[in-house]
Amino acid sequence: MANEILYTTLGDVRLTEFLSSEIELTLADRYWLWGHPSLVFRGDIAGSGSSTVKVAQVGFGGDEMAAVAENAAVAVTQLTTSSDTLAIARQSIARKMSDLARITDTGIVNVTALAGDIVAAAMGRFTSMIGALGGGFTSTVGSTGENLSVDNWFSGVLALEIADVPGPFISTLHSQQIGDLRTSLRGETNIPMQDRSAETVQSVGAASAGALLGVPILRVNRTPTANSGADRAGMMFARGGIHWADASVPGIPGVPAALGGGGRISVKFDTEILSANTLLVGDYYVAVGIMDAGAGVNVTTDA
Amino acid sequence: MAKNLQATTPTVPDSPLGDAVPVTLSAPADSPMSVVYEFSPMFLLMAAPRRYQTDGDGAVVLNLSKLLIEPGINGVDSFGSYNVAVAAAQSRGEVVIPIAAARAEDTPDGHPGYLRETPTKKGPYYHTAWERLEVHAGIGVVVPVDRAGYRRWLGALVERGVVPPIHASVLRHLRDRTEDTMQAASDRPGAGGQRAVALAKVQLAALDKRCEGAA
Repeated sequence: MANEILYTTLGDVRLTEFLSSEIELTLADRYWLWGHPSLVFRGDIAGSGSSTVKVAQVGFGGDEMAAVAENAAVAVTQLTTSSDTLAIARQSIARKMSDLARITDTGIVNVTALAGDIVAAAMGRFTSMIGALGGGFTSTVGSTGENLSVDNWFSGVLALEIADVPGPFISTLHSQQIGDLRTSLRGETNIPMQDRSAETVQSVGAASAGALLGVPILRVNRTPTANSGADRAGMMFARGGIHWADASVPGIPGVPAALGGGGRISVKFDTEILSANTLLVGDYYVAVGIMDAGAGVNVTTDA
Repeated sequence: MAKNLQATTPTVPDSPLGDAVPVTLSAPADSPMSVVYEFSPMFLLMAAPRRYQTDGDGAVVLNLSKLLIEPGINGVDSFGSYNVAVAAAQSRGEVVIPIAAARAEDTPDGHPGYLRETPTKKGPYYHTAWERLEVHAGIGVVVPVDRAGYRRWLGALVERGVVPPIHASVLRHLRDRTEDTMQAASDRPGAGGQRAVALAKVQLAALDKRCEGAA
């Protein structure tokens, strides 16, 4: 039979492929710690007159009296003080899209979506900055080159308690460390790990990977390496161990927000008329730091 | 086939330690910027008096942390100045190790300095001289680590007086913690307890020997 209408002969009126209206996200660490209650927020410093926040610690309540003879001169006790500074710095991302790319958009990759993606980029950057603090506490639990174990976990909790760190504690670990901890638990009896659940997510956020000995575990794959790449430097700390601050970019009077780019995460648009491109620039002014290097322990174990 | 990384040399911002420190740049030999890899900013290594670990054999290992030279982190300002961060670390008794403390004979690639930079699609990835980023088709990024070479350099840091030797009290603390772990594990039923006891026994024997030597 001839002249049949076949798909293979309809090249002029059929498409080689069409773009599904559903898109999937590429694999990435999308657990964010922005605004997490275990991290102390020092506020929005816009309008303060400086890009640096100095946070003081005072030892009130830390010194106790001592027995002194009735007629002896009592020695003056020095008040313990310390401070830490947070220096706000610009974190940024830029995207550029040609007019032709915008014309042919089917509703998936466009300026609006890219603006939303910039917010996600700020959240990811913040989480990376927090994760990068791993290894910065002054003491460490775990053995280099050895998998994270239940015993390391006990040691971490004990070390914090001995150092007078007030609970509750929280931890951030790399997925490899979480897996190793679970493996260690398989050989144990009567040490249950609370799995990730609606309750733990509600309590500590989407990064929750469960809890062990009452210490919630947050999965942060941005946890840095340690010991020259042999290990990962997770951390267990109490609220007060890590703090952060940010700054809103002021809007420009008379300029629409979308062009002026005001706000905590500032998104500005610009056009390159000669080359027919649209530019998006996202800025986030933020600082993170370890407030008290004794208020946490590094959980440094095999990568 | 693995794409190995080659080295060239840019510099980090002026160091508050008094020397302009060289940084060796690693770049994929045949496909630069081809790798999407994780975030790792420029850093200096720091030693803290109590930050030590044991390995599986009970050897005591100096656990260096990274002072990140990244604006917005730990007091590093918008201009990349890390004077405040260094001062804060030093006030805690930490030793900031100059990059040049790694000599050419200490590093696997024969270049001086302990810092290496590998360009990736996400920007530069900073790592130590004992790590090497390799890209394997179908596998992704693999990072072989010269652990033995790194450990030799840690030992050299103490021998050269860059880092003070471990304090006897810290050594004793490591030993006691290991003993506590062994006792707690021996009371636990199951394979996990047995494994922990076996590991702690090896570590404890080595730590006892080290403590005797330090006494």
